[in-house]
Amino acid sequence: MKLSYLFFILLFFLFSSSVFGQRMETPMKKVSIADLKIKEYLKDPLAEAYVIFDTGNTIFRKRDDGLVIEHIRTSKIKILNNDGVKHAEVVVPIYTADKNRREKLLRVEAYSYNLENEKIAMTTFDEKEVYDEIINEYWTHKKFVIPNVKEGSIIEYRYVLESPFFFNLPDWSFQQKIPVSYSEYSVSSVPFYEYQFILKGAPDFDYRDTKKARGLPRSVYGIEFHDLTTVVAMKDLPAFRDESYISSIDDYLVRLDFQLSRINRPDGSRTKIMTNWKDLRTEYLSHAEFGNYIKKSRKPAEKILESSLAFTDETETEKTLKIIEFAKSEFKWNNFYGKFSTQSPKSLLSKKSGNVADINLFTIALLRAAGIDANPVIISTRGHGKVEVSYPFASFFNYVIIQIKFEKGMILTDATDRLIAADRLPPRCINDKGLVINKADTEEWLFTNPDIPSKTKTMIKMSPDPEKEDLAVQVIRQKTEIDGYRSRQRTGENSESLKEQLLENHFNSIEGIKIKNYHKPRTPFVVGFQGTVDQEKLNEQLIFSPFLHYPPAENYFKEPNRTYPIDFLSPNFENFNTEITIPDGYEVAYMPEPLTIDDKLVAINTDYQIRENVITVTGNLNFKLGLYNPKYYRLLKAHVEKAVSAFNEKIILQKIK
Amino acid sequence: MKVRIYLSIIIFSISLGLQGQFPAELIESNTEIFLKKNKLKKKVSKLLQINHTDADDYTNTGIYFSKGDDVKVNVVRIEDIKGNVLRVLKKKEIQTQSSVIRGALYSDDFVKFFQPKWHQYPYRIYYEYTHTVEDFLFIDRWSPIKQGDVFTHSARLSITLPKDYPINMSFPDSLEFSKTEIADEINYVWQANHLSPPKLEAHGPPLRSILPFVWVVPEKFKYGLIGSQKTWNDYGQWQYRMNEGLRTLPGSEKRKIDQLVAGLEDPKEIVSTLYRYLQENHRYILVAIEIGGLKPYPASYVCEKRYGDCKALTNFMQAMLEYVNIPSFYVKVYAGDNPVALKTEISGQQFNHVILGVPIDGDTIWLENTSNSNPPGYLGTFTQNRKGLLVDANHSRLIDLPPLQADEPTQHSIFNFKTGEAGSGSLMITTTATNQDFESLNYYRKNTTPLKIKKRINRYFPLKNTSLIDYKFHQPDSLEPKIQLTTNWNTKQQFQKIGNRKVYTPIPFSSFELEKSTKRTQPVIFNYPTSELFEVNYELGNVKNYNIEIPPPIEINTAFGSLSVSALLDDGILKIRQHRIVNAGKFSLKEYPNLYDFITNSEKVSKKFLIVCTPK
Repeated sequence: MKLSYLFFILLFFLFSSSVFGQRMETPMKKVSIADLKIKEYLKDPLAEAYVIFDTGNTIFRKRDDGLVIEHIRTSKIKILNNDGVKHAEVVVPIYTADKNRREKLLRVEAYSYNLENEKIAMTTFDEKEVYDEIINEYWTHKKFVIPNVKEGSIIEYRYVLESPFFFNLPDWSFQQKIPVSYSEYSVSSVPFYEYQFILKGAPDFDYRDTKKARGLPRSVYGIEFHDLTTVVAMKDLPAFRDESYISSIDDYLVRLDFQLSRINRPDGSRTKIMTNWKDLRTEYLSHAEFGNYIKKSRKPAEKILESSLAFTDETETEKTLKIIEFAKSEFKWNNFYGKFSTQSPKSLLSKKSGNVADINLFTIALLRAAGIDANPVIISTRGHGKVEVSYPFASFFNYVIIQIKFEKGMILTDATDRLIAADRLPPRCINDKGLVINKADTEEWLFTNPDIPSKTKTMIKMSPDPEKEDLAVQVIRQKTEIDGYRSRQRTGENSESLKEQLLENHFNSIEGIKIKNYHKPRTPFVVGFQGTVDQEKLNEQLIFSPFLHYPPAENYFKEPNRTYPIDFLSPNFENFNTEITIPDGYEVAYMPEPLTIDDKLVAINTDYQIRENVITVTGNLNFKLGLYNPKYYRLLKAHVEKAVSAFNEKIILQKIK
Repeated sequence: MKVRIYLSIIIFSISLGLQGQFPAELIESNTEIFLKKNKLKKKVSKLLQINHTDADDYTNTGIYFSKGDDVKVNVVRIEDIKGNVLRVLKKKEIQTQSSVIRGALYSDDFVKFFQPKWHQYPYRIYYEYTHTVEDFLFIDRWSPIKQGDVFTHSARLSITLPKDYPINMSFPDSLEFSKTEIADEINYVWQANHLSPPKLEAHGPPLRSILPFVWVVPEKFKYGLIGSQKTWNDYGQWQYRMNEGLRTLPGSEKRKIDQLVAGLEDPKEIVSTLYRYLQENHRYILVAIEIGGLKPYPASYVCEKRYGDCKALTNFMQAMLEYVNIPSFYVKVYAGDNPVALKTEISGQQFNHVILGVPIDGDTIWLENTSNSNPPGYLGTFTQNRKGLLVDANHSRLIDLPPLQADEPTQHSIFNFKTGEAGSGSLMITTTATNQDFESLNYYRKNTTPLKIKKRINRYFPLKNTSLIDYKFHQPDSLEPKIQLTTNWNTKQQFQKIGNRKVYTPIPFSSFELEKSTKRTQPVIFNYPTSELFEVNYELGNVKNYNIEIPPPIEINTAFGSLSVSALLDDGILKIRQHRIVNAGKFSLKEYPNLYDFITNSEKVSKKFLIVCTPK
């Protein structure tokens, strides 16, 4: 299913109007007794509240020193139960670039309505009670609470936000986590700024209209013009409710994103901002905090090559790996994402710490200084939404990684993460595709999703002693790729704490625990130990769960149906191999039937073999794809159901009579 | 003497041996506090060593302060292990942010925040700051131990005060303490060396109870009003004066109350009616500005907004009761499921919550005014069984808040399985919940959506291979702290298949997740009792085709609680009755092995008590 559709409109030039559907009236301070008596939203009885209407109106206001953007948001919400009361707490994020460039919350008005003795009681919010919570140097949250709100109330608020950031026309989300009955966005454009916009998550608006303002023209910078107002609206949007194994809510919410495409100056000159990917690449290549940052990094990079890396006769691949390893150990990632650098190369070298762009762009300079063909690739991380290749929006991207080309092939890398191999990306970067920022005539898109499966191999040896209450086991687990990365993150290299976890949950004793390859992400992450578990017994019989507690105990797909794709990041293979030594005087009383499922989605099998006094049990649980279409959900669920049953089957040994 | 020297060498060696295991070490911490022109000035310096990449986050440093305080960060630098300066942080790397506590909408508290990090290990960070305050209730609440897995080498607190400045203090004997008089001042010094951080353990004391803490409070103070912390009565009187004049209700509110209580004569009924009015029309929102941390918003504010924090809602409830001539007491308490015990020897502000006590007919009705789901008189896990400060004009005093009792099971569930030969079919569970189980289920019922309630129910019954179809609560909003719930489920594989045999087991009891007994370092505290009674009925179908082996009943009685499990076959129905009671109490380390055995045996009963059906 195609998730987004473009309405590529140069607002200034669009004079024709098109009207379809019905625009809803959205007056404030108009509430009926019938509205207040509503107990349930019939279209969604599970909803704790629903939006009666939500409107955004963006206009360009003339101030003494030029134009500013004014965004007026008006929202009216019906509260259906106590869980919905939280919607009376409103947060408006305010951005500050520096002392002179910052957003301002100009006005707030808010009301609540309740039914008291069959009459409507309105309570007014006092604007003095807007609180400022400073989040960091760039963001402040303006917070307020609408008073007198309880089950059954209707609340409404309007705020006016002023912004000097013409690059960022406020985006609009039609869909929310509660149902929305009607959502409308209007923008009144002026001749000086042209925007393009993209509607994501829906094929079209329910209402769209563009009109030229009537009456006398406005005059700004000596130019007279009429505002051109475009109104778009949608109705009956369902609540967005999370499902497990999805990439990001932003990939599926119905919303409208804007991007500045052209500036038309009063003197007649024009600046095209980004109307295609080539423009974007050109701009990024000369951007002070991107392309020029790489150029500025060249000299310090060359010095590092001479002083710290001093190559002799290394191959191109060896040089590349050394440089990436050097960057990973030399610079500490400060956990901030970003596609633009936040400090000078000198500062990075002094602080030894920076955001993703600081580190990866400098690493590109190091690679280039060593004669390696390296380019930045801008991507959207998981949780930030998918990139729509058809539409050139810079806001799609929030992260930069590195493409390295060799004579044969290429790799993608991220120098901010020490726990992943140099030619692999950490899970946060795996989200469809990225754009290579280079001078080539045609743009190059690269897929970040790996085809290489993550593998977990579990080898178990069981040495039962019928005289003992415990069963002695040896366990070795090897994990590669993303599974290895996650285990490195989760387990760390502290074998004692891992031992404690294992003892708390599954084992009665643990000895000789070893963790291998924590610092060698190119090799499997290995955990090995000897231990004991309860020996299950039934009368005189010994019972064994051949794969211990490691297989899933129950089906993790619980819902009957699914709306969104199932996103595992990469194909995932899990392999078990268990050897059970049959003690003297015992024989097999029961061995489960083997299972085999092999189709385009999965390969699942179990097998049991006896050779002399050793039972060998193997099991494979392989998900062949990283991303499954939701239409396969029920089949996948059925496969997992069978796998859970087969992987938890028990073997029985009994005394030879 | 020799023995002593040897001993200290051994202890020191053990300490040196231990420190290598820690990801971070507090090399030196120095805090100096003195009074200057009635302002309290605190000068702090710390040297922290980071040994490992996993410990980098210990360098994230926040200096918390309130609006009006003067905080200056003098220096933050990174050093190598020899003390060579690698980098000095720039001013702009020290950011000021709001510090709104969790659960609050807003408070005018802030934090100076910095996170110096280096790429080679080990490295050290050194920082130094001063913090000056004008109005204060504490001289300091100091611990030599930094939170987390950090070994302390040396930590020192020095407080210098005028001789005529009376203070109260509390500190453990494990800290070295000295007191020196110099001219007209007294210098108090606490020193600690070579301390390993304590470990937080399941059902152990909260961290604040196990860290060594020095509490020093001024006997006289100014915080909004001038007050005294010499005795609990003094401190309570100050709070009483802070609350004075805040209980005036607007005329419209008085009329509303008149309507609500019209015709009611029983004071208990009046309290219930007004409490329900509070619960249904007001909600908890915390906005703490200036001295708002200790002074309630007036009743008129709550009338206007219909929201408030614990102080505001309690003060409002008190105002309503006052209007109908029912006296009540504002009671300060340290709330929380696992509370920090009050230091009764040092009076003053040790509380984080407020409730209301209404004495009627020789009994007290306790009101938790931030809850919209608790019935009147029910304190719950948040405030039960601890000391509170009853605030009174002349006779403020510490009182004991009553504990939760397990007169009835906290969960009594009847599981009726109707399954076919393959173990698939339906399950109906009928549950009656009291105490903590009542609180939790009732909160979800009252405050969340059906989807969240379903998630909660799924967690409440840890059953495998089941899916919840529907649920229904019975007798909600009763005055009794008890709730009934019926749930219907689809089930699969409700027995274990071992070869050709079917094995039925009891339902697992809830897990306490205790450490192995050899690992435990702290006593166990069960703050309230748990009593789980399960009656499990499996329809076995054609029992004639099977030999059915039922184990003998289990009966265990210990000081920690009791366990009984039994099963019988009755007209084709396998009936398992299982009851576990875990008593409330504090159990010492010495008792831990037996306690651990009791709990783990009860948790393993679903694996060990096997009813085996073998085909004939």
